[in-house]
Amino acid sequence: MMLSTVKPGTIATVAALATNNDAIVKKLLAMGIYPGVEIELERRFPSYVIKIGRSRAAFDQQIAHYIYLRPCDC
Amino acid sequence: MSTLLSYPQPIEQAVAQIELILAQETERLLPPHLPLSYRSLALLLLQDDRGLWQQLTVSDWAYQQIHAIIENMQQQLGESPVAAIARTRQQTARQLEQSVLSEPATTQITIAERLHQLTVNPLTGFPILLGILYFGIYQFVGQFGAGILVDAIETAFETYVSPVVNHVTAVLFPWQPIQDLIANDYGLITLGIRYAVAIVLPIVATYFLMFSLLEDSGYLPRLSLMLDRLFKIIGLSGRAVIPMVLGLGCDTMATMVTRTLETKRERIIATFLLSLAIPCAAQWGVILGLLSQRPLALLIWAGFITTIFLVMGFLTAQLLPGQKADFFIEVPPLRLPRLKNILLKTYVRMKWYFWEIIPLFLWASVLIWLGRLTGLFELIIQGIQPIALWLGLPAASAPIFLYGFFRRDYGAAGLFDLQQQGALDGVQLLTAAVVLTLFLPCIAQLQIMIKERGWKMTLAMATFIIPFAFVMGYVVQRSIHLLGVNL
Repeated sequence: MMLSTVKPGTIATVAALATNNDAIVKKLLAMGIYPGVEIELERRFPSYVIKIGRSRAAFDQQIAHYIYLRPCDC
Repeated sequence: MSTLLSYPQPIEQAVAQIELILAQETERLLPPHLPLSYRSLALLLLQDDRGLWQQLTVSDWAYQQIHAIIENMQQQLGESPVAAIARTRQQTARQLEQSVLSEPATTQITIAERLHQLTVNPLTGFPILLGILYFGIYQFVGQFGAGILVDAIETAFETYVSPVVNHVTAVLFPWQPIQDLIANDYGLITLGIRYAVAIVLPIVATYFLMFSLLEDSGYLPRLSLMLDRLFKIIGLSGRAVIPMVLGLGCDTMATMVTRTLETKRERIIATFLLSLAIPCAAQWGVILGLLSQRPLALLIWAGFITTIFLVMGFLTAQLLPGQKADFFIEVPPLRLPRLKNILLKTYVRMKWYFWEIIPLFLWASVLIWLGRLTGLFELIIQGIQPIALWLGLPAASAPIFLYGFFRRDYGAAGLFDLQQQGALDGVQLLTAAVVLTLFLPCIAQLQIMIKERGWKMTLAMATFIIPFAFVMGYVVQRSIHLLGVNL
């Protein structure tokens, strides 16, 4: 499932970053978003806000399409 | 070698091989200001760091060897080395954190957490945004900085400093042109220093204080994520919110900050909008003061400039080719800012700003003096006069547009003088305010634009902006008259 299709409040594990755009992959990695990491979707509007550990990141829908999730390991 | 970090085997192997090759190079690999270990260098090369490749000097032999090693490593690794390296680091950091950190079993929802939810929820977030704009910007910078403080300092300057300077220069220098250079209407001290100290300084100081406060509280990234969708319409992303807000303080500084935007397209749109439709603090501060007795005119000015900002942004976004901007930003926790840090930041920004503008104000005074002495300005002003009259403005307002080119705020401050003399009515004030806001950026901003965007782009923008500003002034003036609105 894509991050852009799940409901706010969902906790899941990142399965893949599905883009060939290296710049975006690098940014996501720098924000701590990479396969195997657990994230929580806080809200989808006005922007996507997710929680990774104790930090937060925000991005637009386009980037949310790139982030694939699987049910969380927790 | 680091004992803490150990990357997947193909990476470690490639790093070791590259280290060996680099060690065999006889020439200096990097400029002296980049003291990097072979291991760090190898890791950066594996991640295809463009900046490093440009600075690195290696023999052709080493270059080919390194490329072969990287290719081989990529085949073995089966994923992007960038991702593998980042993951290893993140995992190590997390393990380290877990080994030293103990958390309370019950998680308490803190005030900062609640505030965060309030600031990013559109239902509460937009009212909070408007509240910050109203109290922080309009009341604090506009009314207090540009109103009370400017009035007090300006009055003190006019009462105590200007007469003394005028008198002393008149006694010391019997020659009129020298007197005019230092004192009187356009003198170095009575105009240059007065504008800088009495009008610009209080406005910019209060704005930078507010900006530093917002910056340190962690609110700005939240503002970005709230406005991202709106900014997408004008071809920008939420990241551009920060240079735009900074532009309301100083467009020159903001144009420099457009470097942080991801795509060239975004940087062009942001630079264009900053020079066209974002008035700097000194400029809008003075305009606010001018129009404060006429709330309707103020509202029309603000509405018109906002509309221009959105419409021109939208059109530029349609016309400019290139990739659309992506938006991503880290959202730090909200914090209570430390007063000391805010004051320090404001002080550093003020210092930068002041040393940047004082010479320009002085140069402007000298240029105006020279221009007047040689009669060149008279010629230019005569050229502008028909435009001023066409706009329904008195001929005496023509110099403002010329001086406005030296500094945005200079023009606005000149308008302030004219209004003090009671020479302008409501419609004229509004027209002049609209033209001056849209008009060409000040000399300093123009310099930065040329530096950041290049000659051609800057020239293209200026060629559009100058006639556009006058035409929009005309449109406003005609519309007000046609609608019969009384300002």
